[in-house]
Amino acid sequence: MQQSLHRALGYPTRDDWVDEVDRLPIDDEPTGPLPGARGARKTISASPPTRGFRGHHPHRSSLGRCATVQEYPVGDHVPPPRLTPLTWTLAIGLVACVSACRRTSSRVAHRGGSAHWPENSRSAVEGSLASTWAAVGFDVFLTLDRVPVLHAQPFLDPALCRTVGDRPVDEIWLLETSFDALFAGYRCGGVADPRFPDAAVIEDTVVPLDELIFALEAIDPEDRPEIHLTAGFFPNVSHDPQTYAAEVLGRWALSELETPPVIVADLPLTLDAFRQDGHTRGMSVRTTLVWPRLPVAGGETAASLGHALAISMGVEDPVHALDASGADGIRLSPALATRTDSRRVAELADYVELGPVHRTAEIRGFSAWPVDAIVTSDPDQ
Amino acid sequence: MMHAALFSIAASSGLQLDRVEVIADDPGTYLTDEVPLLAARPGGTLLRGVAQVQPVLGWGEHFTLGLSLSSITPGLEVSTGTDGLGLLVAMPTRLGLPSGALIAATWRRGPLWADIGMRAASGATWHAPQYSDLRVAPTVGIGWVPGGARD
Repeated sequence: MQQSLHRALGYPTRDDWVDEVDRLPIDDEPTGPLPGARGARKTISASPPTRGFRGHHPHRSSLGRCATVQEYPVGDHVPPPRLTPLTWTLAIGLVACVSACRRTSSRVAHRGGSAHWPENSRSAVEGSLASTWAAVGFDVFLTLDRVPVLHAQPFLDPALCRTVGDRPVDEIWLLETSFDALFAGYRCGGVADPRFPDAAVIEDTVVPLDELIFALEAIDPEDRPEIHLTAGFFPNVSHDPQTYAAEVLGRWALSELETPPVIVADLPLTLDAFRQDGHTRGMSVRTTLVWPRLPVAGGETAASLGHALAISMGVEDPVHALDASGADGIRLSPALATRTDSRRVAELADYVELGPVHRTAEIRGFSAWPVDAIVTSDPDQ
Repeated sequence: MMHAALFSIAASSGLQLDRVEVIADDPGTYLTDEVPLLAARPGGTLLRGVAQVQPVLGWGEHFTLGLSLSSITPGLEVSTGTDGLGLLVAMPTRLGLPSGALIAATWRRGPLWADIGMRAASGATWHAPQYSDLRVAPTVGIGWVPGGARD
């Protein structure tokens, strides 16, 4: 009865479908390896991408985590599909799996991949460069004697650092401390980071930028990740931005590294200083604006609420901030930016990053946003 | 502060609470952009949810003014009666700057208010009052009507 009705309406019936399947040619050509599979050779773009990271990092796809390939025996007769509840369940599950596991953005390792080892540490430098991560970020501050060191704050982080005698550190500002004093008197990474309970706990000295440069030089140029340096200039507690830029880019220019680092900062004047210094050295420095600017320590919650209100009312605008800064790309705060913000800035920016985010659910959720890269402590996710 | 001022002006000019839109049409992105992140960051999603809840004041037969932390939305709602179908036309603003337009069919029954329609939304801000990125999308709103507000 149903088949008659289908035929009367001009739709193919079950018998028509079976006949059609029987007439299909059997193609058993072997399929090649999936492009972008984990372990594929990493390629780093030596020139700024026109649309950020898309297409530059072949190992970004994680579709293989969900995809399963099943071979069906080919016989003379293929039974027609039956849409049982189980079939529907599997179909919905497959769609959900593909949606959840679809990865549309690349990854930038936050602070050297702080989910694996202490942030900005020697272990992070070695580990991240030994990995297949396509982009790795570190933070840089200058010491009193203008030595760039990898550290996330303008002061020694009391939560992560101790004195050599294993005493808690007080207010040790990098601007007031020479590199030799830092090297001789303090160790960081030997205290477990409560944010990353699975990360290795390794006590070590503060790492100078020179070590990162040497480690990069030791790698084959094609295997070098893109380096993002967050230049944490803070008025009154840092050297001026021009000095900052000269010390960082000067060291880079003396190295064998062809690709300059991507400079990340939350103040346009910092980005300006790096662009100008790079220009005088003949380096084309890409810059990323961190938006919005939040206080370095303390007051984040109140500041975030204020920003959130201002953003929702249209008083603060990432498009305007990006335009005014002259940066090539923007890094949006996951707590404050909206999906609409990311879509709007994508029309103006060369690339849009979002982060840092650390939890798997967050990374997957934000990966569906129109952003080119997610900044995360664990780029393997 | 501006909302408090508007509320006080409203109270002195005979306005009354018409409804509270729990899922508001403006900005109208909560269901599509924020709810999918509920498992990932429940606190942030709930805060965004609170920010978009919109008390709507009404005066006269048809005029409404929605006031949420996300937007200020003057509107015109024409309905067939206390209960039943109606038509809503509104202009969402961001601190007074028009950011789009909304047209929706509304439905009331007892304490329930709902609407379904289309909205044109832009990212216009006071820094960049431009409408080149105007996007049209469907919208759904659900609200609670306190008893006899429009009677």
